[in-house]
Amino acid sequence: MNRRLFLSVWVLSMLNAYAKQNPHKRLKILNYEDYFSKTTLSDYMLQTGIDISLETYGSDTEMTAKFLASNPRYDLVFMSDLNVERYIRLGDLLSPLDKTLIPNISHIDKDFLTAEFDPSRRYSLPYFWGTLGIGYRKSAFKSVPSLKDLLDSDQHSGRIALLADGATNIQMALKYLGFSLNTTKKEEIEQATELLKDQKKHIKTFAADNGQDLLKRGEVDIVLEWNGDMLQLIDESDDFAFVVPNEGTLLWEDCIVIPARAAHIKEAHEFINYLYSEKTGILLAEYLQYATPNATVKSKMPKSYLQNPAIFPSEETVKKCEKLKYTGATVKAWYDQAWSDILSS
Amino acid sequence: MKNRPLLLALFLHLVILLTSVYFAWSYYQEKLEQASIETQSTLALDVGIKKTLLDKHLTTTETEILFLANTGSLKLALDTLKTAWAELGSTANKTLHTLYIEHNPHITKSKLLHANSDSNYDILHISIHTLLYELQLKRHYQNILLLDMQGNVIYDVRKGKYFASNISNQPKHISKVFSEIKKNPLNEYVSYIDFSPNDGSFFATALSDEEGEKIGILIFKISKEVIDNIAHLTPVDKHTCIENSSKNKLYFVATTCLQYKENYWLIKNKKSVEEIYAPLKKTALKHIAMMFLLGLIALIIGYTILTKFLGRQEEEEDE
Repeated sequence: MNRRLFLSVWVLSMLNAYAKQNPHKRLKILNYEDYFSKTTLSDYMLQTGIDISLETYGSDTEMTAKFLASNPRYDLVFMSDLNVERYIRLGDLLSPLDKTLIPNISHIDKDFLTAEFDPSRRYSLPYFWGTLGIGYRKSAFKSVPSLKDLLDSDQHSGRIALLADGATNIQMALKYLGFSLNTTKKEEIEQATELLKDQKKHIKTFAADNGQDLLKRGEVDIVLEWNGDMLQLIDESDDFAFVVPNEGTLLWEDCIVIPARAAHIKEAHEFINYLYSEKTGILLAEYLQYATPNATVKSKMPKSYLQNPAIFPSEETVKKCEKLKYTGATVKAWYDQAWSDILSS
Repeated sequence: MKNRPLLLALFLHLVILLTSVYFAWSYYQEKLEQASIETQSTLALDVGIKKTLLDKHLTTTETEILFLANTGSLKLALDTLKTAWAELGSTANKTLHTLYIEHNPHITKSKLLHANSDSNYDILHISIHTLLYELQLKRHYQNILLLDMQGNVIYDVRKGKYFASNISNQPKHISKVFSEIKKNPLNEYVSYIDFSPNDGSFFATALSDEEGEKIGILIFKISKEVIDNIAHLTPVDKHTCIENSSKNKLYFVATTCLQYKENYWLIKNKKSVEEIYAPLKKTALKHIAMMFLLGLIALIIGYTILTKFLGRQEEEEDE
C-alpha cells in the first residue's frame, strides 16, 4: 500500500514537473502565403512540443490589418525590407532582437548582417531575398521581353498584368525612365505616372500577387512578378520564363521580426534560430526557390540553384538594381496621389 | 397704591421683552452675516471646483490624444489607410459616402464595422474602427477623426458631415485646428475650444514618424453636453471676464473666468438671497414670540408675587 502510494505520488510529481517545463504554448505567426516548406512547421512542433498558429496574407494592407487587429499579438511576422523600415520609423511596433538567443545567426552571410533599413539589425533578420522582374509566356514573344513591353508598348495590349501595389509599379516605371527607384523628385514621379496612365489601356489587370496564376490560366502573356513566384511556375512548364529587366530592377529582402509586446518572445527567438539551422534552411531554399542569405545553406545547395540567374542574378545585373528605401511621408503621399490618378485615368 | 404691583410687573415685562427682542435681533443679524459669508464661499468654492474639473477634463483629453497619437499602431493604421484611400481613385469621397453613409443600414452610422466591399480601405476600417469606436464610447468623445496632411478626412468614427471630405480652407473650427497643426512644425497639440453649440470643440495633434515628419492628424471632438455636465459656460467679453463673489439685492453670485485663446468664458453660480435668509427670519421671529411668551408668564407670576408680598406688607402696617 505504501509502495503504491509512493509510486502514485512520484508519477504525479513527474507529470507536474513536465507540465511546468512545457506549459501549453502556441506560437502565433504571420507570413506570406506558401512561404514555408511543407515540413518547416510540423518538424518544429514535433521537436519542441510548441503549437504553431499560422496566418497568412497576400498584400501589405492585409498584413497591416491583421497586425493591427491581432489580439494577442503575433509572435513572429515575416515582412518586406521596406515594411521593416516603415515599422521602425513609425515606432513602438517591433521588439528588439536578442541575438544571444539565436546562435545560428553565425550561418548568415555577413553582408546580410547590416542593412540600410535596419543598420545594426536591431529588429530584423533576413529570410530570403530576390528580384522583381518580368514573367512571360515564351511562345508569345519572339525575343526576351523588356520593361518596354510591359510599360510602354501596345504590342501585347490586353495581355499585360502589373502589380496591385501602386508604388512598386511606379518604381518600375521610374527605372524604365532611367530614374532611381528611390527618387524624391516630384517631377520624376510625375513622368512615371504619365507613362503608366498612357499604358493603362493596354493593361488587363493589376494583379494582387497572383500574376503567375494569370499566366498559367492563359489570361495574360507578360506580368510584373517576384522571381520566386515565377520559378514555381517555370518548374511546371517550359513555356514560361523569368527575366530581370536590362534597365535594372528592385532588390527585395523579406525579413523576420518580432512585434512589440509579443506574448512568446523567447520561443519566437528559438523559432528564428530553428529557421537558420542548416537542415531547415536547405529544405526552405529547395522548396521556395528564392535566394537564401544563409551562407552555410548556400554552400550545400546544388548548382541548379546557385547558378540559376533568376534566383541569383549576375553581379552585372545586381549593379543595375536598387534596394528600396523609405523616402518619407511626403514622397509616400505623392505616390498615393499618383496611384489614385492612374487608377482614375 | 393698589396698582403698584401691576405697574412693577408691567415694567419688568417691558424690560424682558425689550431685552429679548434686542438679543433676537442681534442673533438674527449675526446669523445673516454668517450665512452670507458661508453662501458666498460655498458658491465660490463650487465654481472653483467646476473650473478645476473642466481643466482636468481638458488636460485628460490632451494627455489621451497625445498618448494615442504616439502609439505605433495608430500611426501604422493611418499610414496604411492613406494608401487604401488613394487606391479608391479620384472618386474615393463619393465611394466612401455611398458605402458608409448612404448604404449604411444603421441609424447610428458609427455602428457599421464593415461596408462589404473588397477594398483595402474596408479591410483596414475593421481594425481601426474596432479600436477608435470603443474609445469614443468609453471616453464620451463626440467624434474621433483621422486626416491626411492635405486635409482629407479619411476616417471618422461617426461617419458624420466631415467624413470623406476635404476640410482645408473652410470656415470651420476643425479647419482651424488642421491649418494650425499643418503650418507650425512645432505644434504638438492644438485645441479650438468653443463651448457654444455652434461647431464644437476640437483637440488635434499630428502623428509623426520617428524623424518628426508628419504623416497625418488625429482629432478629438468634444460635445457641448459633456461640458455642460461639468459646468455651464457663458461666452463673455474680456472686460466681463473677472473672478468675483458678491451679493446684490436678489442673489448671492460667484463667478470664475476661463480664457481659451481669444475667447473668454464665465462659470457662474448663484443662489437667491430670499432662499438663504427666509429660514433665518423665521427662526428670529420664533425667538421673539418665545420671549414675548416668557415675558407674559413673567408678568403673571410677578403680578401674583408682588400682589401677595405688598398685600402682606400692608396688613402688617395696618396691625
